[in-house]
Amino acid sequence: MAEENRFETISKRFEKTVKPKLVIDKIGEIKRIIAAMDGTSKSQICLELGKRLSQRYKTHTKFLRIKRYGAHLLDYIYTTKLAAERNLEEIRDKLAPEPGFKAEINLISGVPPEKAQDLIEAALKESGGALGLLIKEIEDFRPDLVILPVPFAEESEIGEEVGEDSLGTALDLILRRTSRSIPFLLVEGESLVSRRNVLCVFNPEQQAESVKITLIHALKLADAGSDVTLLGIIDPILVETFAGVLGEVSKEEPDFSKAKNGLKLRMEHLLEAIQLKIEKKVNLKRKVAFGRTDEVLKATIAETDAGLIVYQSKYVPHDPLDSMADEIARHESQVPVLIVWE
Amino acid sequence: MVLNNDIYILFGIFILTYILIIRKSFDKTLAAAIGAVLTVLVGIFIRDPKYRMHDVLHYHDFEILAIVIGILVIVEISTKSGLFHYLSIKVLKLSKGDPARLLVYFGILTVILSGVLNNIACMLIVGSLTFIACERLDLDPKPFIIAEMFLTAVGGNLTLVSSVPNVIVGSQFEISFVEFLLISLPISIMLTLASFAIYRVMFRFSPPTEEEKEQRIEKVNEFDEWGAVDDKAIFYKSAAVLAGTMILFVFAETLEMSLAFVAILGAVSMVFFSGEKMEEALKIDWALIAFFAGLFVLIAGLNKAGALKEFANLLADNLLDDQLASSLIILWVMAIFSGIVDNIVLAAALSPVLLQVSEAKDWNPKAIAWALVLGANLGGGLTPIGAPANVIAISNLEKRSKEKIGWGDFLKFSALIIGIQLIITTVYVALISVFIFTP
Repeated sequence: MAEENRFETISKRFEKTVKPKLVIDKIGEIKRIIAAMDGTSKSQICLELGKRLSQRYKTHTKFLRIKRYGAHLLDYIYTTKLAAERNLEEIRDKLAPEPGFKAEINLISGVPPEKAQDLIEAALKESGGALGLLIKEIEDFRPDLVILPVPFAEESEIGEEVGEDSLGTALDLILRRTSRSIPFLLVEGESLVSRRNVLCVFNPEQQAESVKITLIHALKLADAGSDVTLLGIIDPILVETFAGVLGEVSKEEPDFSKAKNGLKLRMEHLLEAIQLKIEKKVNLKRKVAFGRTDEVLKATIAETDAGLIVYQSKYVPHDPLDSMADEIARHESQVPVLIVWE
Repeated sequence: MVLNNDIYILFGIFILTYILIIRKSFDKTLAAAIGAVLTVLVGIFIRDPKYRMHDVLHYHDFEILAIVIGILVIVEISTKSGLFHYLSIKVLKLSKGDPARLLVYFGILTVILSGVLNNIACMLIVGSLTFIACERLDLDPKPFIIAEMFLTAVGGNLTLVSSVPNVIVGSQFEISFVEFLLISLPISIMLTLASFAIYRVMFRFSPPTEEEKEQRIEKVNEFDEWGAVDDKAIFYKSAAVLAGTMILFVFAETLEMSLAFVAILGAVSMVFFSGEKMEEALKIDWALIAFFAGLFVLIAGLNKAGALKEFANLLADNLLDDQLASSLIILWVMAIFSGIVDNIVLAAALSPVLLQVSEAKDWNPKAIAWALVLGANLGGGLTPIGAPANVIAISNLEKRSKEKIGWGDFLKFSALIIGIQLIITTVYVALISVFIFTP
């Protein structure tokens, strides 16, 4: 047993020596962009951003105006039908107290709603709807970046357009149905135009490869001379989980220092490795912070004057329905967010 | 002269103690302590003036204990300094993650480290890195661990301080560090090369593609050899003290220093230069030291009572007169029994007896000493419980690969590897017995 413990101790010491080294040979180029617009005010920013990035990288860009006729038409038909029926009731109510003549109260509809529904559904099936067509465009055009306005990207109950009973958002569906891992730049705010700094968010659980991918996408969008802050967030949830693995929580007064220091060390190694390999065209800054992800994010966005946040989706803590960190990153901060998927 | 009955009583205690030691369920240190206490107590009833309780109690061999304590302290502190971790990672990087190269390089490292340290510490260090490296390189650790496990036994032959049987036999037969090295080095090299030849046939690795090669280089380069070193100053000092101690071992005879003194000097220097607190430095395996002390008292009792002489005479009467044949028999018997019984126990019991047999038969005692040492070290590899290094290797292999390695599986490997090693050693022992240590 004593030898077994010693074996584990020595193994841990060796494991500590593994420092992820990132080989970033080539940042790569952005050759094709799809910038989607949905007619909301955010679309204007998508347009500006698409134009700016296209000019910088001399890309072939497709600007797509999305109009979701199918679902909207159905809504319209049923809403107007409902309104007409309500109106009919009103007419009945008004005529009711004044009998003495023969009154027929009927609704005349040019298009029977049921038939319209069938027609629209058939048309949707044939075309795949706006969402289906966007997915097809992404698959065919093979863009290196897709710019989406948040209202469209986060619209839920959109699955019916592509024949799915899904609770997810439009973005979830696109991700599920596209065959390549494409970074999506979600546009909510307006600050990118004035702010050039980039905030790259990492988590100590991340492996070197995922850090590399995230970083490459961040660097692609970073202007020369801008500040790129590599932020490693050590969330208390992660510390507790890690401490649980170490068995520290069994004590009466849990001491998380070992877990905290271990994660800090891991994060520092990770950021150090990134810094060694990064191109010098940007000003690189490193920060490792303890605290709730949303709070640290909020504070660091303000502190760094970031105009773009980049992170890999699964490494910013999510709860089952939504993530506070996502909420801060996408909405509260008003800073565009580049979400990278593996 | 001590009465024969007393000898029977002492033999009874000795046999009982050894049975307790062999039983895995009984603490072997406690068994040795009980044996030692009973051996001393018997002195009350033995009326021979030569057999005094005081003499028996104080007969533990300080030379051997000091060497073991000194080496344990040196190993403990230099391991803490990260010296061997550093070396192991350097070797890993040198292999570029190529499996065939990794097996050879780690194999050589195992032989050297078990020569300088001891088999247990070596298996702990090289074994743990092997598992981590294999996991990262997506390799099956089994061939590597098995190769290392059998090579710890080869490395155990390398120097006088590589294993406890070496220390015991060396001390008993008065073999100097250099003399030991001159005989052990050729056989260790031969056995290492032979092992690699066997491994080449047993373990085949498919040649990696260029892309795989690059990926593996990248992965091994992720290891930072300085990552396990907390303080570079202590690291360098530990390396210097270790090297200094090894050099002093070599020149100990010329400088008229005992090996025990060199070991203690090395340990004290290590503590002094590392800045380690004495209480931390002395966190060594005291149970092992107590086990040796008990064992030595037990054997001293038998010796004082003349029992060893009687046993030696008995052996001398029944053994062949021929030195060569006897040394080969001793080599094989020692190897086979070391696979079942702790080789330290065997070496401690048989060294004084065989020394007396050698004298009675006019043999060159050194020839017998080498048969004992080589048999004891190599025999440990015969069974899964023959040496602690085997237990560490097999238990971790089972734990990590979820593959059960039973006695049958183990014996398939050991019969081939140790069998060939023992055949080579037989030729070697025969050669040194005929040409160097002539009667």
